[in-house]
Amino acid sequence: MNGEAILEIKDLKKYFTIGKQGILSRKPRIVKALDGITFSLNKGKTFGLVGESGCGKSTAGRSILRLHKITDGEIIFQGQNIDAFTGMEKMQYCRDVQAVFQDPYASLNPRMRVGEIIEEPMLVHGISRSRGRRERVAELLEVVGLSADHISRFPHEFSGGQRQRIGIARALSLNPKLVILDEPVSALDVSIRAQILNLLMDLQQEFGLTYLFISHDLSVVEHISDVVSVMYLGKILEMATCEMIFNHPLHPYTQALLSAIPVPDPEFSRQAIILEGDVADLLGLEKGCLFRNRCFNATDACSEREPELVEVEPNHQVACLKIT
Amino acid sequence: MNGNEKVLDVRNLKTHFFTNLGVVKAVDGVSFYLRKGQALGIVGESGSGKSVTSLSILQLVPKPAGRIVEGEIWYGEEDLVKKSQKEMRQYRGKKLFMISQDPMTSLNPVFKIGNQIAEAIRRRQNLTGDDLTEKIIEMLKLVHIREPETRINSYPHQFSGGMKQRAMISMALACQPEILIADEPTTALDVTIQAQILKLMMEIRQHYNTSIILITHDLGVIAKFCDYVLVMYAGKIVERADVKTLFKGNRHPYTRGLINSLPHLGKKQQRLASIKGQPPDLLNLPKGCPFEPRCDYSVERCSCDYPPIEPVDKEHFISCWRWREI
Repeated sequence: MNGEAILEIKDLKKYFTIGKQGILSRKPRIVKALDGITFSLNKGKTFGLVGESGCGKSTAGRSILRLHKITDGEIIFQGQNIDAFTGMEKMQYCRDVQAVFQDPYASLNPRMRVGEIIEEPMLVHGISRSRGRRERVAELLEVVGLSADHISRFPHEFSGGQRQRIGIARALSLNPKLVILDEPVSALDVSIRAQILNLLMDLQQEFGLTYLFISHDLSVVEHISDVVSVMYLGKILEMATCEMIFNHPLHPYTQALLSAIPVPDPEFSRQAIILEGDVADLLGLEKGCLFRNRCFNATDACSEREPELVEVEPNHQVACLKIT
Repeated sequence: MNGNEKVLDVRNLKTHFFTNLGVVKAVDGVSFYLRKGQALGIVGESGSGKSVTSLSILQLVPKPAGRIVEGEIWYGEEDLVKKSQKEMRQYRGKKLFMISQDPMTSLNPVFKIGNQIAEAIRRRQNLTGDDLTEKIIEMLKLVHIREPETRINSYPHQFSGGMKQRAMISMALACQPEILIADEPTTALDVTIQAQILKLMMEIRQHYNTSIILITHDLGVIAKFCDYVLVMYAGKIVERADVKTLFKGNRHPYTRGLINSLPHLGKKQQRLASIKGQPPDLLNLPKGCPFEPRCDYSVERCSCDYPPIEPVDKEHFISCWRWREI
């Protein structure tokens, strides 16, 4: 994982408190959405973050976007801690880091025309005069595979795939360096998904973008990512180059996840690892490995000590007591 | 599979929705049959009519906008289209059981899980008191819900998505239907939970010889679970074949495009083959083949006439003017 890091995350923690404290209310519960994750994004590469619902992958993306106030840890962008940013630096950070969200129906304002949607970030950041902006919007529409004629239409006139293209155009309007893609293709039909993935890869080549690709779909993550990290309940269990994760997974959870994906080939057969229980079964897991109650390799030691993310071979880190 | 009796025979089904903007032909002339013990998959993108097909079988098309305008659905000697809603109650939940995509909405939030399963059990058996409780616990055990003795008193919101779907399956088990219709049963679930649910459904099928109609957009699930597949596009079946033929010997450009556009695990490609264009607008369908604007093989004829469904061989049917050349 050598190369120039654009963004470094160090021991990032985000806790949510559920239930307010009051005289009559119960003791507030703390949900550890992110519990000490560390990784870095290399310039021009795609970092894939996978995991099941509730593992904290979206919280990680939102924390980087400063949509959440982090509990602890550091986010370092191009060598500077983003917490220390002053007003102007904050604005610059917002320009450099943009996002595309999952639901193309919810992430576009239905009352705004496409031109206005794409233009808005430029207005907020006071970039270029109105004529220049219009030209830029038309150019962006062409870049994402729509036509400049679409500029005065409303979002409801577009299909899901086209709306996602509008969302991508909006993210690109400020020439960002890093784009957070939070499940960008999950809501799309299969035939459209391939179009959008191809578009994202083309744009990365053309503009030298860095992606943080958040998804629950491992086959999509494999297709687009250079480095992949697998999350479970706010922690990273395994992190390696894409080839290593998919061809030589070490953590039992990664192995189970990979074997659970149905392969579109009726003649393909394998011994699937079927995990018992689900992520919500958290009872009595204060200590030790969080995955142990679903793990097929768990021993007594797993409930005693919490495994740390350790490098077992170059560019391959695993958090499992049985391996390290 | 061959020679087995047909449990369901759908002939030229047309379900249309009459809206202010025009008529939406959600299902437009669909014919297929389901054999005893068969797992039939229906694939297609959103708006292709796969869910409306399943709702039509159960006579649950949203009224008054939706109506079955033509066609027959033969269940044994009976045509379900001609049944009244009252008569349909004899079929729903007893002989035909549906598991829907969203387990959060298919359970009643104000009743305990145990009571809801009891309702399903009582459709089949006349049990009361301790016998009933015992049966409910047995059902929950069958679908691998932990501590069923305490869980019967839980409400749906206390269950996770996977557990709710398993509770639904336990109701299906209690009813022992002849046909289980599962409309995207695993789409809202995580992959590891999806694997559990699919395994459970396979167990039901083996154990009770239940016929299953599985509706999904996930070709991986189809490959793993089904033996026969219908591919739908804009309300019509474009290709139907057994699962091996569909993946290895498909002849329709849409089927081929769908399969090629999937990223393959373990085989990293530079680019994905994609189908150009956008899904069709059901209010303004082209005159000829609805796939024509997106098709790489289209010729002049495709934009004028809809291709009839023709047999390639005994179990393989296709609707394309140029299938012989593809």
